[in-house]
Amino acid sequence: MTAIRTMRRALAAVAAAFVGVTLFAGAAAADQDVPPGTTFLAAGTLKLGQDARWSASQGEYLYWQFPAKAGKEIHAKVDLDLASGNARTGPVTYRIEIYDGLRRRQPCVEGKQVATAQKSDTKLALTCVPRVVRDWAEPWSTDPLPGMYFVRIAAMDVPDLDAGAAVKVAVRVDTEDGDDQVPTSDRKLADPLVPISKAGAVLKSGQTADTRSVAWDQEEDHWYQWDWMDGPNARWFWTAMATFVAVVFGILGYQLTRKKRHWFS
Amino acid sequence: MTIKMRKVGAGLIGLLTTLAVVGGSAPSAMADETNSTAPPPKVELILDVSGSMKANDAGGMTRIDAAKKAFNEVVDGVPEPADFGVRVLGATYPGNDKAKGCVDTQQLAPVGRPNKVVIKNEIAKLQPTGWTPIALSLREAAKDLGTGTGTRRIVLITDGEETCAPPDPCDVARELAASGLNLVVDTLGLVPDENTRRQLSCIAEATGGTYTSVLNADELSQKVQQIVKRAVREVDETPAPVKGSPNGCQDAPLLAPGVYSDREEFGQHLWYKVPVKPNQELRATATVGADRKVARDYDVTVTAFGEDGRELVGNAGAGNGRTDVQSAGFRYPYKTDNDHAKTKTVCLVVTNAFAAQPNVATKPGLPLELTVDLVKATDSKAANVHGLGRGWVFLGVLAGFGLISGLLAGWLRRAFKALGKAMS
Repeated sequence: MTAIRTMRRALAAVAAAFVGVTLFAGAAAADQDVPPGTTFLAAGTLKLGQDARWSASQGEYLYWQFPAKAGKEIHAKVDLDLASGNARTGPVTYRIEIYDGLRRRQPCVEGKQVATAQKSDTKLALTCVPRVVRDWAEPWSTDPLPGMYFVRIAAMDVPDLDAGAAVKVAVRVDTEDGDDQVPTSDRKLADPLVPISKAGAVLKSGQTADTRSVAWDQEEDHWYQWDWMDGPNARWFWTAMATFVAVVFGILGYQLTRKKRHWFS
Repeated sequence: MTIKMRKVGAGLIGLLTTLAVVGGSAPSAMADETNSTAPPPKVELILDVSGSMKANDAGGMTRIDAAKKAFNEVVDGVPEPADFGVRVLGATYPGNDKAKGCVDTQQLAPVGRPNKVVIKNEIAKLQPTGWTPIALSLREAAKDLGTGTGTRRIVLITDGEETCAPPDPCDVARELAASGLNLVVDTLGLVPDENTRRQLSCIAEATGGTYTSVLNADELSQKVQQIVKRAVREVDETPAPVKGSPNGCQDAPLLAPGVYSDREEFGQHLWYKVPVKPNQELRATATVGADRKVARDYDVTVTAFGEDGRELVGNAGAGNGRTDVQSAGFRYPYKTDNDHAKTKTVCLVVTNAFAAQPNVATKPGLPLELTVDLVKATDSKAANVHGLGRGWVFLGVLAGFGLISGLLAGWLRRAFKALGKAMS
């Protein structure tokens, strides 16, 4: 599958190089105002691979959300434009955090998560790369799972006098194919972690509630992937097939030695 | 020729892939169909018209002129379907009598679809006059916005701090936010001094709003429009208020999937119950807000217990430093093959380890947002793979060793044969 994926990537790259280059660049570079929310519930929706710009106030907490599928590695990047020296009285520290669909903070395993701007600095860049999204995890584990993710950007430390000053934020999230060595479990999360947003209701004793079907645009671009071979039973098939192939190659190897050949001369 | 055709084909596929990558790179996840019956968001602007607004330092004009200019732009740009109202403070009483100056707040335009002409005329007439009764204005504005579901936003624009304390406007704001009205106060400081900044930041923090300092009419107009637009965008259903039980699971409210809001005091345990049917997966998150000064380290824990008291699953989110919220969440799959399995009642307990700083009010409790969701259950144990293999590398390795063993067997056979011939 890796081979096919590589091939597809190569094809896309070739196409981008001489056919779709203008299209690709045009769409990817299109900046847009994507308003962040001030809470998880109201988080603004980011488009993957596109910059979102926003003018915020120093001290605000900014929330955006984006989807990520199993096997993907999230790359989040934030550029901050701070007011220049005279408008500020001291250093300010910013932090980027990634939360999963259950609002659990996902550690950044790469990137510069926290950065401090001295009074004279007007630019600040933050990046965060959490662990590769798993396809399954035990309930007790906090491994990243497919679903919605939140990126939260906020000042960790801001001088009293500088609160409320203008700050320009540009945020961008890309998801790339992660390392193939992500531990797989032969299981899949039945429904991605897509948060519910409707208002709750208190039930009467004895009442139950129906299962919510999570609408998740799966966007099946893997038509070549053999979905029927996923799951725990696939291993029986793979092992049987591999044994068969090994036997065929064994016989082939044996046959090769039957005739007199001058192998090394 | 064929090569050419192939190239064209590859190019086409490439182009399609490019398009797919560009166009489809963002699989949109629609959480739920947005309920269009949600009431329109209500926004009320409170404008400070106290004496200090005469100061001529807002980008080449007086503060009041800057505010008027910005207001006219904002009124013109109020987006559908927001309800919009205006209140002023310190606009009428010029004297020194605190008792009179501190009740000086009037509603200029009632909350509803704005009548632009009337509002603009009223604003044009304003003259900087009196005191700054912020706390009272907030209370009155909350009344103006009424009760019922839907979001409410107060945008407070002032150039100075409260001159009528007590009560402290920050405490009043927290109290209003806690009254279950989904009320958020955004504050804007017009050329603010240090105390004003501190007070306005505190009001914003207490209600989950934002604080911005602005220096001229353009910044003011832009920021207010941004806030109003945001209020409209965040029109999604508002959390349902609920009262968790501090006494244990048996008295706890039974919750259906959805978003809830509650208040949790420092160190309190709040219990809720959720009925989970076989093959449903319970997903819950708890988010506790820090709406006042709290100690540097804190955490929030949400745990699921069975009715027999066994801990099913849980998660603790810990953090430190300046924050608005701390959250935690878990998933609990109730997966079973038993056709006669019964509905399980899962008890959910939310605890927090925030610590109030000295001189900070501990009541009302901290804002708690709880989400409960029931989806299709996933297996909770990893599959038993019996040491079996999978994948192309596995197949390749087996095939390779098969070939090697075949060759070795063949050569050995020949070697033995040769040896046998030599012996005989």
